[in-house]
Amino acid sequence: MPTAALREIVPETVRANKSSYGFVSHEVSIDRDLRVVDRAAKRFTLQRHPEFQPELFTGARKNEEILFHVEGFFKRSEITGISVNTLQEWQGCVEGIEDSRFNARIVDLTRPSTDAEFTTIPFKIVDKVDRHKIQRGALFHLIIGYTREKGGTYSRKPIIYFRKYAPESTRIGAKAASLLSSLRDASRIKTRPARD
Amino acid sequence: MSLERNMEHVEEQGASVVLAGNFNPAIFNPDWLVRQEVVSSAELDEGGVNVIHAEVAQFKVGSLRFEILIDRFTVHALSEPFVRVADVIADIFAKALPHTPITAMGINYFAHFRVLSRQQQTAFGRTLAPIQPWGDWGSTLESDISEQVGGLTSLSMQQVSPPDRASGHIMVTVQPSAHIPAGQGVFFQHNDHFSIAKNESSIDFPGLCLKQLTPSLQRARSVLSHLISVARGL
Repeated sequence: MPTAALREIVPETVRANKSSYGFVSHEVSIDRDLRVVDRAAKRFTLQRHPEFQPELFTGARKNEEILFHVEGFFKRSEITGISVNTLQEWQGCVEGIEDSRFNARIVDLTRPSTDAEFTTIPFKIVDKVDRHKIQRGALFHLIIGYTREKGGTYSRKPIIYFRKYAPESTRIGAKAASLLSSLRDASRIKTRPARD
Repeated sequence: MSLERNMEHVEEQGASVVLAGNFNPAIFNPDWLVRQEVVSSAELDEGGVNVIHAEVAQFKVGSLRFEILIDRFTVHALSEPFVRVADVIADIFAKALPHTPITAMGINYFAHFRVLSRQQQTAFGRTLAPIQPWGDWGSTLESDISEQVGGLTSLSMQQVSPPDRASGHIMVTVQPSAHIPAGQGVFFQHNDHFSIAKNESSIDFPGLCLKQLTPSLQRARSVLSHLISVARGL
């Protein structure tokens, strides 16, 4: 949708009713150059504008009218790579770095009662653009689940996301702080020698 | 049954953070987010702008969808890692726009999970909302034609004043899924709401989001997993 062109035509105000999942209905108020004929939730009708671009609109009932289908305009963009589910998620802290892998202590967020464990993670499962973030002390999430890719195919691959900011220790975030504390304590432990 | 096995039945999920306050929608656009290092320029290729206006902005960048009104800012994570949303909120409202007045925050998670049959979906609805208390009218909700069986359309349960916050609530909503066809799906939504209490002058909402997002998602999935166990065990 050529939004810039539409902004030229609909100059001043587009009001959107609020809802948890986007837009339910819309009301427009137009300045003196464009008169709103129909304030229906599903569509509104404007007088034809000198810069009218037919490809933006469909279904004109009269020559002087153009119809703008609000629902179509505001519909979600095509989603690619949408998460189907999350089967397991760990939060971890980098403890040591080797040639092609790093050592980390991780906590299973999907099984909160389990103890932290050590693991070795190969660089190859980290996006190339994120590999510079693999630094001692870096916090990350390791997520396993299904993703629906473009074209409808399903894939199950691990995602590693390095946190930009760490949750701080406060009363409110006691649970997260406890987790972070355990990870920080763990980072003081000498890294286990990597297996050959 | 383990959370991992229950989550196998989830067919779609998403997370979002909603901030209430005063915002200027016109300044938010994908290029601005790149300049503020909230998203990468490579993510601009996957997305698009629906509208950017003085009173509403809506666009998608990579797997993030933004909706900004003058009194509400929402960022949806369409795919994992959902925890990234907390970093996005911190980048925007702790780093780029630290003086933005924010009065409340919601951390939301939703999922659609599959049950074995329409009958199982109905049984789950009857478990959560039995028809007997509805008297004679309740009995009219039954039908020999499965597509015409009435019952639960939406149920919300609220935890008032959770102990980890001065003011707010947790709301869980269950509905028949509109995304999974043939009456074989259930929609689940978990809303974690935080607001400023009467005895508080302000809250560091970006910091609160960093602290609370992971625990909130853990809680949501724990409740979801239990409900999946109940539903698929009927």
